Amino acid sequence: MTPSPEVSTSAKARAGITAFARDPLAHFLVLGGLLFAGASALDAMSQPVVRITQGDVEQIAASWQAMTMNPPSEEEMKGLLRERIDEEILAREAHRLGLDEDDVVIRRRLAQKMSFISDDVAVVMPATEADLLAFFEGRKDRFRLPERYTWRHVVFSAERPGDSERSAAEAALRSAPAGEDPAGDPSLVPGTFSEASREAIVGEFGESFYQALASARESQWTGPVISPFGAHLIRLERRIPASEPSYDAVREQVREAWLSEERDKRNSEMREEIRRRYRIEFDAGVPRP
Amino acid sequence: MKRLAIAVSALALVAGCAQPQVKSVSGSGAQAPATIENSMREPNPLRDAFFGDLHVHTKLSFDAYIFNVRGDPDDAYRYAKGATLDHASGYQVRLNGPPLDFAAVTDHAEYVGVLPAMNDPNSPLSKIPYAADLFSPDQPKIQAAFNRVTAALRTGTPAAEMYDRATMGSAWKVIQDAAARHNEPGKFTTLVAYEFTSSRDGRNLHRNIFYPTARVPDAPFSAFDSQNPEKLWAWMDAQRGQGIESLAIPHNSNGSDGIMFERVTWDGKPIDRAWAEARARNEPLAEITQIKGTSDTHPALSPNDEWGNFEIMDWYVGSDTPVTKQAGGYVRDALKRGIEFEATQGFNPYKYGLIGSTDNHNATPGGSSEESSYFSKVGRNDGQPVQRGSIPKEGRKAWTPADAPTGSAVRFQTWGASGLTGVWAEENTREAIYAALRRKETFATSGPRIRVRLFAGFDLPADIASRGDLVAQAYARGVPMGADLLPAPGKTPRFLVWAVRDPNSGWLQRAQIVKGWVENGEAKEEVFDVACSDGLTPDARTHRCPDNGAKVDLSTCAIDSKKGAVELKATWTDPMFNPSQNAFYFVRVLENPSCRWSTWEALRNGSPPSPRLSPTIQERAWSSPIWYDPQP
Repeated sequence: MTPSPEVSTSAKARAGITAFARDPLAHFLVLGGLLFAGASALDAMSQPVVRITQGDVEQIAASWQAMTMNPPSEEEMKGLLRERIDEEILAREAHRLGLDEDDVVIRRRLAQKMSFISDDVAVVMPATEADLLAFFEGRKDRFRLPERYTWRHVVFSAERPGDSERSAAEAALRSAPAGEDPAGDPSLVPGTFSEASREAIVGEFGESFYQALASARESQWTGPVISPFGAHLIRLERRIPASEPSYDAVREQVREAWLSEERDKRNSEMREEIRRRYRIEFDAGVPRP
Repeated sequence: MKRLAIAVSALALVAGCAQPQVKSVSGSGAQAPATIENSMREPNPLRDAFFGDLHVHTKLSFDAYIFNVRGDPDDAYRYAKGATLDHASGYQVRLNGPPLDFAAVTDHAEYVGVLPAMNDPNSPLSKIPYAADLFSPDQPKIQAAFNRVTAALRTGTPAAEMYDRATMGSAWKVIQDAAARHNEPGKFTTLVAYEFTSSRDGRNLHRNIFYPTARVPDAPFSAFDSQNPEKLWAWMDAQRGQGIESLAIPHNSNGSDGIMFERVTWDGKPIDRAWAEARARNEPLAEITQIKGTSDTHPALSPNDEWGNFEIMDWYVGSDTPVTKQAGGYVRDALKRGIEFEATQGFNPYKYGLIGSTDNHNATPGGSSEESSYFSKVGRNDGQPVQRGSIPKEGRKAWTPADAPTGSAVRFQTWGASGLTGVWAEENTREAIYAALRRKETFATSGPRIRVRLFAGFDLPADIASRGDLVAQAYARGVPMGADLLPAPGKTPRFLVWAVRDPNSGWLQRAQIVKGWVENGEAKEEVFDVACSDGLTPDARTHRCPDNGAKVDLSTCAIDSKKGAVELKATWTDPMFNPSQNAFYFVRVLENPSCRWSTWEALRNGSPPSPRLSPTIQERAWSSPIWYDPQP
């Protein structure tokens, strides 16, 4: 059916008002025309729209300028807009035809967008003091300070001939007047350590040296203990037992840990929620991830 | 995304790594939890050595982000303190030794934080047309988009759409906040810092800028403000006038094609006193070694230095353009130019103390400075051995003509596992460490925590090396590295050189003094061995230690524990001392030869070391110089 509204209107014009009022054919044509116009209007409403906003134009101009160092001419702008419109309609048509499915680039980008959204959701809530305190109480182990050692030493250099550093150390320990420190060789290694961790001691002096120090009696010179630097006489001043710091002392660390845990939790909750909406099936022989 | 969790250290162990596992917080010792009172050790007036990395990038740097690096400044400081971090190539990395004593995150100021925003679909910056290309899986597209980003750095003109001050401002805040959070006096020091990424026609003029306190400028002065370093110094001077102290450290002079230490100003005019003083005031130090090569010297500049060809990188930074001019691009040459200026015109723009750092772009301070656990420095671009040319391609176990490195691997294979900064400071605090940097009581290492001291004085006792109070004597009667030795008519200076090995690295082979001096207006140099291992003594004529015979087993990378020294200590007097000549003296300490990183990787892969690369290196440390000026 192809009667055009223009045709019907011109017919009507020729027919004259009175004739028109009485002519059933005219009635039919007019009603048909109206119906057709309505249908086209409806059709136009459901037709997808590509709207180019002033903002788009500005953005297109700005990126052109960034690339060419000049603003686009009128001609260039028209060309850029044509490109922009083509890109948009082709993308939409591709989407309509399902071409975006099974495209690894698009899939990755969408998944990334989704995880950004979940990250955003995850950071909205600030911690209350009560949250932090409860968090701290439940995870005191994590903020625990390990055992530490405050100690001094003197070293007899491994550069002494043969194994003589060992006997030199023994002699120095024997001959040191009571209450005085034995004299060792000068050293580039620091002589005192305050609250050193096991890692720090093992790292520099080795495991067996650490064992000797950790089991030494406090406030007493002892040795020799061997390290890569030579033979040492050591004096453990204080063994600071592992301890649990007060909440106030580590509040900032607690807040950081809370935040990161909360974010992880919310992220995985959100992922879990999404996952529940899907059933994941595996072909025979596919290992379960 | 699945991560292939391979611990690098585990690999080293599988390969029968001879290195012990952990090193200590050298010197600091103090674990300073906020809860314990008096947890800080008393300051040591004779100073201890602290080790750190002053050149590290995180995901806030435009290039690091493209390299798929996602560690932020907090992650970087955690890594420096011993935490494990995910590498951009999907394995995990951890500091091979114990925690560092200090670190500074130095992200590129240009576009700082902009790339992460471009990859955030909720940021308006993600609408930039080439943003999608930057983060696509399509390598040529990434490269094309990335080239557009780096083009702005070459020209110094930012792309308006990326130059988002709000985004950069919040990134600068993130950097400051992370430094504040992780600074623990007595235990771990952070410095707020950034990189000024200037290059002139691709010739590298990069500097890192450091602040001693939390008081920093509202925004960094970047190469987008000006590529001219003179403008940077003027800005730093102005900031200092407002109470914001800072210092700048140039790096990768090796990639400057001879323009880092020129004899003329930016405009080609002769250097004058005001120019020299502005430079010296703002740039007391130079970075002599890092992953992108060592900038001590070049065989073309020091033909008589048998150890002068160490980890040479002969390329422009980030480019395949070869360097054509070495003079003006190496630190020793700059020191020589400096004393020439001093002798002929009475001022010295190039009076540099020395530091080393990694320039790691993986948010890993100190990471990759150790041969057996190397992971190079540009994220997923060089995260695997084959990408850096250390093993044959496609799983082959032998080198065929097809295995010659191509593309970036040609350059990456020449990079080195280096370096660290050492400072002599009273304690591990911002104040003490910054003060040490300012007075140049600093040294550089190629990675190992070798401690080295240098003193000079006209009145150092002859027996100082064997005295128990040698350090107190040396400070009282001489000057330490980084200082000036003032003339004393009729006397000859004595030098005290002292070094101790890193227990987790090799044994020391020799300690040398590198001397530069001016004769008839022209600077010369000479290397003197001053202390030898294994009871050997330097030959009086050649100034060389006899070969100590230390060998490396290339089939296991095992080193000979019977050769070399734990400690080297000597006094030395300059046999050519001329009281009327300007001179500088710095120490270079060499370890016995050991496997280069590329050899470790070949070994793990079961293939021979690359025929294109030296299978071994000699790890080393450099002290800052001491200067002698007859007319101070």
